[in-house]
Amino acid sequence: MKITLKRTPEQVELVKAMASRNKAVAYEAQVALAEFIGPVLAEVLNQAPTLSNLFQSLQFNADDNPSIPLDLYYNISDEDYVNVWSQSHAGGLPTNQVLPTASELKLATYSLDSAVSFDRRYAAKSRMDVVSKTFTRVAQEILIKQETTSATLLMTSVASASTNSKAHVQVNEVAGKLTLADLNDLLTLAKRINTSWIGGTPTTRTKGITDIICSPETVQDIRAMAYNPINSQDADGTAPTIEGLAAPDELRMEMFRNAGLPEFYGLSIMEINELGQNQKFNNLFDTAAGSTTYYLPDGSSGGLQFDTSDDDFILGVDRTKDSLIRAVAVDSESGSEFTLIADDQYSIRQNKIGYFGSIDEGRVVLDNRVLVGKIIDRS
Amino acid sequence: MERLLIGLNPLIIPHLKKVTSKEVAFFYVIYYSRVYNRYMSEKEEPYEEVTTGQEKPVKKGIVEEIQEMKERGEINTAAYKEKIKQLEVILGVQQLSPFETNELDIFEDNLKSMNLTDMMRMAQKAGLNPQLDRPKLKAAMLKEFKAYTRNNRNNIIPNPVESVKLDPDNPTHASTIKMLQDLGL
Repeated sequence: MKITLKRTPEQVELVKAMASRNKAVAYEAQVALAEFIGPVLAEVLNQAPTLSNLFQSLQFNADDNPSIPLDLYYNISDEDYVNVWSQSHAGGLPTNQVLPTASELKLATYSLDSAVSFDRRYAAKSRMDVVSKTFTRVAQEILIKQETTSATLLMTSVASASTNSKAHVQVNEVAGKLTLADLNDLLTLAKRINTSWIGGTPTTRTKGITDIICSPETVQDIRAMAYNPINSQDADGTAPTIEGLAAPDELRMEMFRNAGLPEFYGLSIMEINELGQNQKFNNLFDTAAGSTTYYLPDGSSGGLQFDTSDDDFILGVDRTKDSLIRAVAVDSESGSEFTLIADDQYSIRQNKIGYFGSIDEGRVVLDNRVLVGKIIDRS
Repeated sequence: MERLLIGLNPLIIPHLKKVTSKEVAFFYVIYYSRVYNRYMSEKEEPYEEVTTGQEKPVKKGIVEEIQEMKERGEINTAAYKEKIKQLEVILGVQQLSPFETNELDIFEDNLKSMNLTDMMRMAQKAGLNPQLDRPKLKAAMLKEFKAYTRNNRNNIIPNPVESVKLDPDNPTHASTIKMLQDLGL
């Protein structure tokens, strides 16, 4: 991510004015730049291909109490009570509450903020690069906070999720790697847990999941399907023998040509470094999983307790449903989700120009049936 | 007699010294017949389970450990504080909060170990004026921390809230549902 301020005469003048010895002029220029940059930063945050953007934005007026009428977010034939996951504050463990679909869900929001400052002389010399990098840092800090809060909510929601007596997380079929069978299992699982309220076929049948969020090692496994066998069992149902079955030629050619896969098996792939053995979000899932034992798709064999040092995790998400919601406050003055204000705490002798940026948001998982997971045992 | 006793358990030798050679021979017959029967018998004797050391013990999650400590009333112990610290690292509180923790006692400990430069850096991140002397800066940071975490302290694992479930098949519940519907709720 890079935010660049163009070196136009107007902007150079504005940045110079920020370093004025006249306090009123300097502060006015700083406020003008904040008003101009704030909406740009909000746009940057919303465009970044991150875990945070799996959530659908629901804007509300700042200083208001956001709420969702739950019945509008569920099908008329859905269950009467639903499990809603939310986080009361940034850095807390998310909790779930069972709510009747006829109720109004009040959303807890919290503020994610960042404060930066730079030396006045950079503004005096019209160093646009320093000013640009300062705002890039603000955006980065907010993004990392959004990523962490999103991941905590998603991992906690999926770790203990169970619908129709089926756990939403399963163990992979062939030890040590992801196979096509695992993706196939995920799609079946997603269909099995998305039933009508009487347990039958829902009126709106979806593919099951639309996106997978996985580690680089998992994407490596997918690329490896170009030159490795893909079968998970022999014709008689036993474990595959030494002579495996290769993927169709067309599929392998696609793998060779597109090493940086954006999509596979009809699923969008989001590759993140925070997943994988001993990585940040893997550790989060490990914490959320606790002593839970996960099984193979048959639900009874191959019991495994997730261990971040041995296992990898893949998260499957169905984005066709409006279940991952991010309530975000919109500033009444600027009309932007991101509020950037000139920091007035520095006295003129300190020779500092500061900015304080914040975003007021709250995230909820209205229905955890949109989340499924696959553990890749790499021990 | 002494030769016969060589190789036997030293604990039983004093007892055997008092017996005759006939009795010793009888003892050997009984002993070897038992050994023979044990190895030649088709019926398997029950065996003790032997562990290879490869099995993984049942893992307990950090959240479960903290919950158990809470139940035992060990919330003021150093071990509890350590567990909360570990959980905060996993949940990314160090990145989420400019104070790197949401717990007052942990923050006070951190402040004690900070030099002025560290404190100034943290104050800057929290949007506080860092150009103060150490005692004033420390007081300002503590005040700001308390304001920043007024709703979050001691709440890293909030208790789940369960709403009342009304069963329409239950006549009492059904009348309550009807009343709520009449009220437009």
